[in-house]
Amino acid sequence: MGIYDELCGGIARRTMVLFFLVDTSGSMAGSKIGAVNEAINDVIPELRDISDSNADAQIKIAVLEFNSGAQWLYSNPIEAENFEWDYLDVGGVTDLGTAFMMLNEKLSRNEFMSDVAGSFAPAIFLMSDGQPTDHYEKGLAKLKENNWYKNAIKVAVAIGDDADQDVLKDFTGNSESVLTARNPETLRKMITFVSVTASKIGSQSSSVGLAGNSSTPTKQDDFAEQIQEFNADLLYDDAEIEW
Amino acid sequence: MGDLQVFDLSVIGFSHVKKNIVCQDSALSFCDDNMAVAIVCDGHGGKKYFRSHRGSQIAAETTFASIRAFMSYQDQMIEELRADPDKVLGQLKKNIISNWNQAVNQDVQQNPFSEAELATLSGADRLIFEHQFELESAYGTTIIAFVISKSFCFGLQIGDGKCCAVCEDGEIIQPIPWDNKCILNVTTSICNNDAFANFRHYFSESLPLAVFVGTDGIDDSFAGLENLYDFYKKITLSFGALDFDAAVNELKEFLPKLSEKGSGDDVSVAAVLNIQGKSITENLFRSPQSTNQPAESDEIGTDYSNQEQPEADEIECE
Repeated sequence: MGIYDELCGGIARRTMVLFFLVDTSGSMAGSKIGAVNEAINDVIPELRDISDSNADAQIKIAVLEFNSGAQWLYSNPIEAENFEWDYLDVGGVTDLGTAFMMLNEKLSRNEFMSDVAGSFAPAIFLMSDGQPTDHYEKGLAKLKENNWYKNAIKVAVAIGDDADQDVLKDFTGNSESVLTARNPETLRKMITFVSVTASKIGSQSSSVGLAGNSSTPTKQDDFAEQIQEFNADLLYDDAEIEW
Repeated sequence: MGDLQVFDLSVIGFSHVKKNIVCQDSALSFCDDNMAVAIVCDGHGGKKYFRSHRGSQIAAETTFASIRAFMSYQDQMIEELRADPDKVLGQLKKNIISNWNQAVNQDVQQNPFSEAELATLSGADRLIFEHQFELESAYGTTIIAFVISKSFCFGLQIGDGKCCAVCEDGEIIQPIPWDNKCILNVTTSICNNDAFANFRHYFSESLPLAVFVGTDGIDDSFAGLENLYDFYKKITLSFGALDFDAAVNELKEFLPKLSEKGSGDDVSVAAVLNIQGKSITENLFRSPQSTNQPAESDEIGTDYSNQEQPEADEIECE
């Protein structure tokens, strides 16, 4: 037995949590929630591959659905390897502020970021088709004080033209990280691209530079740039509103 | 410096083997009659830092060359160093930054960026490198260096990774102040325009039993700081118990396993050992002083554990 063997109990791998915040209000009924369910279910195997091959960090998934209130699908983030998508149903209104408050509670080392080996900054992916029906400002203000949120990769998809773009921009911190899906096919592409890209960028170690303090970009900058390129490619496909 | 021993080991990361990526770490150690030096550098990797494996090699070489030139004047500058280490080590930092930038620019002149290297970059990044606006960022890397002479020691660091020193009483500390700008998986770098401002240092006339400098691939492989300190304690005990070459080989065999079970990242460690003729046993680390808890000056990062009590505990720099 080697001198280092007894250290093995203290060796662990870092994690990166990918948060899905999904609007399941009544207006998401039909092809919208259908596309969301299908796309997330289909992208899980790819996230498993990234987690397996990109050993900088293990990817875990957490899902928060919000309608009249909000609820976590699982009590803890689940390893991508073991994650099974539970198809979401719709109903109720759009309590986005409640979702922000619940997300803030879990963005803590005492909650979802508690892995012993430490967590990379998370990726947070918000999908919504409407206007918040509660006072979201308070929840978002609280979230903006959270250091995990500040360092997270944040992206939002507005599903259709009724979504409140200003709220989504306020959430991501910039307009570049807000996409608009005008039909189910585009939404599926966006969910796949965002999930995969955020997971790849978010789970890599050693990005360089500091927001506002360096000419080199943060992960959010890198992500926003890739989103822009992806969005430009989509423009021709996305001309028709088909919801 | 006949009593000092040095070693350096650098092992490609488990994930890098799987992804067919070259090792981006570099490590170097040196010992002569005047000084013992341990250096590790961690190239950033990633698309934009496509020559960071070269950047870390260049950083290790130029840092060592700068330190060697600096130490050749140690008899003349020792009084000034004692009186004002910030100023004197500041000059050394500037010299390292200047030499690294010069060497990187020379490397680009001799080996211009190829189409294959630029092909994977986004439009904006490609333009930057094509016009050589920020060519240094392709070579971005961190640096940790520690030097022990007959009468003093000092450490220099930019970016993440950790320098851990074993004191005479068995206490393990991080002598070089942590930089809270290295948070989560963000690090400062010698390629940044503000590199000098982010270069930290340590100076003392009290010599440690051992000093280890390790890249973040080492740090990130352990569940907590205590586990990292256990690792450096084990290395010290190993060198105390075994023949030097046997101890190096045992560590060399362990590092790939550490990367596989831990960070997956490249793992590099270099050390200066001042343990010859001293009793290095488990008892050393059982003294009341060896708490394994960092003192206030050794805090290693910004806390994210509890938004209401931000000073409650530490967070690792990924």
